[in-house]
Amino acid sequence: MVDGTTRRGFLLRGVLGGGAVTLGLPLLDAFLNDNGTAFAATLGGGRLPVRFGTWFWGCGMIPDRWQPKTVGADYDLPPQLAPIAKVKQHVSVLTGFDVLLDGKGNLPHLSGNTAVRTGAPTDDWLGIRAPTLDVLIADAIGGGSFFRSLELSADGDARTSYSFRDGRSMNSATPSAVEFYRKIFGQDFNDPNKADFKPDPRIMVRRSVLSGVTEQRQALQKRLGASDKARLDQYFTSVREMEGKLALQLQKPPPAEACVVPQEAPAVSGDITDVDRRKNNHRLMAEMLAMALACNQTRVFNMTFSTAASDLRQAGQTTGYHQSTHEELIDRSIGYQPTVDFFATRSMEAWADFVSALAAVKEGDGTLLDNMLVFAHSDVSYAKNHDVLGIPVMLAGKAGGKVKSGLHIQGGGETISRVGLTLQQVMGMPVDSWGLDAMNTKRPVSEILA
Amino acid sequence: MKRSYSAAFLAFSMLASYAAYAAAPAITNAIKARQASYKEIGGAFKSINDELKSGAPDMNSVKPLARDIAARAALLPKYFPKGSGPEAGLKTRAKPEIWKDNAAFVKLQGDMITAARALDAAAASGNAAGLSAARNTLGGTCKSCHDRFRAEL
Repeated sequence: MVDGTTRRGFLLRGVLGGGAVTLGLPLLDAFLNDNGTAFAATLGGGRLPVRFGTWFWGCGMIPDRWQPKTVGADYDLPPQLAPIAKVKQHVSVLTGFDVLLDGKGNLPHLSGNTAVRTGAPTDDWLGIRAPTLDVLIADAIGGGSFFRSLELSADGDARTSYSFRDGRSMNSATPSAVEFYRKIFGQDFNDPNKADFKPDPRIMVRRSVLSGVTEQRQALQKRLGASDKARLDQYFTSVREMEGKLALQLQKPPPAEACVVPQEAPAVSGDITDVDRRKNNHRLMAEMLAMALACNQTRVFNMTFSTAASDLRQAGQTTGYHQSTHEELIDRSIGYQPTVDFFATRSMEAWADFVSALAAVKEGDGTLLDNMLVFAHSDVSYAKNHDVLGIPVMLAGKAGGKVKSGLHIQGGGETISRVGLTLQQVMGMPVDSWGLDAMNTKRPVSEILA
Repeated sequence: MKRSYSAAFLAFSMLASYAAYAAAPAITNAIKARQASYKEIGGAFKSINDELKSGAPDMNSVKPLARDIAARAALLPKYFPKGSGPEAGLKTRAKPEIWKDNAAFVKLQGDMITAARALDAAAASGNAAGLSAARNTLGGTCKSCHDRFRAEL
């Protein structure tokens, strides 16, 4: 299938002389699935969109207890990966891909995280030299949905987000299932499967207010210096996004067969640094996110399960996960830190919950997960030492048939930016290289490409 | 008299500041990179030592640390360009002898790179005795170089 065709089927839509026009198209190969045997699964007549998302957990893992020994399909599941057994067929595990510090120091939790997401390590968030890859992908594919991207953090803190346009522009997160429900399915939501559709007159007024100042905006820009222009550009970008949202609200959304408006989620009370409560909040948010995607509210998301330098804790304990990575002695009889092992394993249970929530939604001939690509990673590799060599990475989904799933791929110490390049290419971006300095690469991870 | 000392000190400070300010970015970057690398190498080496002292080294710790040491060691030669000694005006323990007797310095750097690779290989094999021997060899190359080419604090 090709992009650019309307979601309403074999029509091109445009504007001529101020009026909307449509042009019928003949049957094209692009309308068929990869086998050419049947019409691809559809959203209101067009091909189902391929969505992209990231899933983040803090403090990495214990290599001997997380990394599979066998490569390729049917990889083994060491103890910390055992929780993904039920969703293993959807998940590829990528090990041995390194952050190349190229002479820079390793600032724990930051160097690795920024390198994975931006293609260059930094020791200061303000020093980020490139947008995080979710932002690049959202710029390319996020325009046709109500939210360009959705940032979610299960820790209850709106500031927990690793999605940045630059060091000064963080995309803040929605921190609870209740708030998320109201954001997605609140009063601005247009049910795509509702038979009748009437544009909300309030929206029409709001839209005309924004449109009404176009000339004034242009006049103002002519009078400004470079820095004010840049500031105003950033502001108008958000205004344009708002205009886009309003325009979408004035159209009947295309039907989405998998969209079922969920019940409002219950509030998760108490301290959600407690790992069990966190998992509960995260699961509720994951289920809500699955419906937000199925209802075409966004095509890009970032979900944070636990912060970099993980904030998780066990009920009744004052020492959290991160503190344990530094202070807990290795039990030499078993060869690892047992509390750290506990939290790393709980994190993988949460990842399995997340994948399950996406795979549970039927869409077209498969599932929602089949039409998306989720990139899961941590900020460090070995929790105890906060290394950045071999930061754990997993992928879930088939990106609409563009990638294979259920593989273990060993990176052999090559740069982890190969993964970021691959993700962008799979999502249809015309990039042939990605990453800065020693992390620049032109080699995608071809083993996962279908 | 006291005043003239103060004036001289002030002038010296300004000159030193200017030298630091005036150091070419490439020189500044090289000094920063080697200092960051030595700090990481020192930390990693200490951690490996601690693991060996435990009697049952945690290879999850040792393997990436040894790999990091080897990777950083291989990059070190490019972080000693001419002009990056004390004359750069930046805080550095690199002695002028590094460039006066450069062949000896380069030889010791090569020894360190070889020893770091051997440490990495020993860690990858998981053999504690081999790791201990490789640690000793690498420690020896560090000391040889520090004795000749690193200024005391």
